[in-house]
Amino acid sequence: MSEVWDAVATRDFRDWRGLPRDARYADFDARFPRLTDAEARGLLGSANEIAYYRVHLAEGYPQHLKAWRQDTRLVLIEATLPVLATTLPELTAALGEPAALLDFRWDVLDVPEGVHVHPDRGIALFVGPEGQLLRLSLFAPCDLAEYMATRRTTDRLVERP
Amino acid sequence: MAPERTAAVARSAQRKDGQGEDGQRGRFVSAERVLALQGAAGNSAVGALVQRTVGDGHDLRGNRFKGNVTLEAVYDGERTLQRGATGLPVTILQQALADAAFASTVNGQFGPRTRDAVRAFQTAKGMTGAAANGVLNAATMDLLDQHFLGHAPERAIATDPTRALTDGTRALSPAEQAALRAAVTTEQRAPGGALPTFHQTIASSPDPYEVRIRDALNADITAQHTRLVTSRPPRTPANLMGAAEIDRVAGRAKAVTDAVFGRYQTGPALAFGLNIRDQFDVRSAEIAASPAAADAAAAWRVDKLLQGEDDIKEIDRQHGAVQSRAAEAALIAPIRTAVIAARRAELLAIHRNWPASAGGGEINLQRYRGPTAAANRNILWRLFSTVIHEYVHTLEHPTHVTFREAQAAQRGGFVLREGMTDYFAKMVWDGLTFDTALRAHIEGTFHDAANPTAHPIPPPARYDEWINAERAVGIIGVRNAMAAFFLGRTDLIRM
Ligand SMILES: [Zn+2]
Repeated sequence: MSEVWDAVATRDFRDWRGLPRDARYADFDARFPRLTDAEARGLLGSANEIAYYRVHLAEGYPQHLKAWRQDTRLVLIEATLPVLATTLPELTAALGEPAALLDFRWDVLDVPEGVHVHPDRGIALFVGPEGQLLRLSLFAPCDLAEYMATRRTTDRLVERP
Repeated sequence: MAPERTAAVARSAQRKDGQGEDGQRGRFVSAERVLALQGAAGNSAVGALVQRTVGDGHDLRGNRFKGNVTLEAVYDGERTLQRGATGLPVTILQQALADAAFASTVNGQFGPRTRDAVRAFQTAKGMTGAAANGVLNAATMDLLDQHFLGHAPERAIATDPTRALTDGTRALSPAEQAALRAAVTTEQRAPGGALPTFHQTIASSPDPYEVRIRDALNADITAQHTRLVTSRPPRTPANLMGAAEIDRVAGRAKAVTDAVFGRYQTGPALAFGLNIRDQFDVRSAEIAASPAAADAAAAWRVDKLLQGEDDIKEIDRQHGAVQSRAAEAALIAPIRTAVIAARRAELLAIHRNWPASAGGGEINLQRYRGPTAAANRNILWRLFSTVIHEYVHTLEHPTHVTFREAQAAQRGGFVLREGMTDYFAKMVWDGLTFDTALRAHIEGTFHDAANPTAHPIPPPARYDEWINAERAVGIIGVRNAMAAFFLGRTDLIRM
């Protein structure tokens, strides 16, 4: 387990093989301090699965780590604007061809085919129009359908009236 | 109706209503009137009746009833509803009686049981003798309308500890399903479908259309920049609300919401840094990370003004302009590009400083404090009402989310998302007692202990679609609506 957390901590995902299916949130929680003890409830994927998340702190993640759990399992880690240990081309070269390119939205900007999904490697890269890494998702290896149904986060914010 | 027709109707309705006949923003009144007219426009046979009964200055106020031609006529004393009556107005009446705890079957047929329920309501309201006759007349309609304005009957149902949560829910008939569909639809359709004729110049204005649009855009940007950017204090810690202050308000938002809907569903409180974030920081980072995102933000701000700002809609109306049409689009495109370029820095500052955005149970908001204690109290009350709304979002059952995501935005998708959430948030808000204890908790260090209740509390901002949601509830009943939203019983809102 510790090599999984080490990869997160060192921000080097070239050899990333996904979160273990039975990854325990408590282990992650013990390794990465919480920003706040409060926990939120949200929905994951097109299946709208209920999951809970906390924000955890780690060096090199200026917007922190959003860790999602279902029961005791850690199922998804999201990081916005992470500072990788490698360049993005080094990472994408190591990961190979993505299984799918999905659209995402960055504030009010639509980024078509910007999400490079590697379901078998348990990682999705949200790549901006200028080729920079805007967001990173880490999860257990699965197929594309399972990623879409239970791991993809698409909620977009709308301005309040 | 086509948008330009709608805008014209909305404005004429607004003039007629004045601002806030019921203490709400004029925008609400006008949107409601448009919906009423749209509903009426679908049936030319009732056109004359509509003229007299809807928008005649003596209108029903509750959205359950408002705009229903028959019920408006009852309210105006032009007719009654009694034994033998059938159809949607009877359904709405029966559902209101049921939601008000006057035993009533809901079947669209005014029979003896409905008569008895009306009579029981009349008696409960102090009508006696011949006045308690079981007939829905103007006086009774008025009382029934008033009965629901503060949503007390709905709260009584939600909080009744003796009731099983699905007690009193019912399957909808095909006619009710159709009425529900109509109630949650915000799509605008023109009666004739004809578009207005565009006039680049008009007699009442020395400037052509595109010059007026350019000037209005520039004035709007200047006004927004003044309101949202130059009026802000420096971003020093002393000028920004802290996490503890925000969490204190968010915790109370959860508590008051749980007090109403806690039997159905509860969730974790929202918290700063978790699902409440600083919009300035978030957007600054997003814009800084991508030049394309900054370009998109500047353009998006101008497009939002072009599409939504009242002064621009008025210019469109005066010129018969439809911005999406080729002739108008050709005039607007170069102006849009020039304004985005010339005002880019201000537009990005406005974007970073926009008050709030939200979705999926997360809120980005500004943490600025105001210049006075009164301003800070208002900021905290707005935070409180906003978090109530967002907390309700987090209580939505996943099955309801899936159900509404399958509907097009204007055919129920948006009303079931924002409208229903805001209707439930309003149920909570309207039941609050703004006593010293609540004021002290929300207002914190800005609480005026010497004069605690002298200060007005700013009304919550609401999506117009809460009106559609309440109209829908008038047909399906609040029990069905709550069971669908909180418990995922979407079979009860089939449409
Ligand atoms: Zn909302």
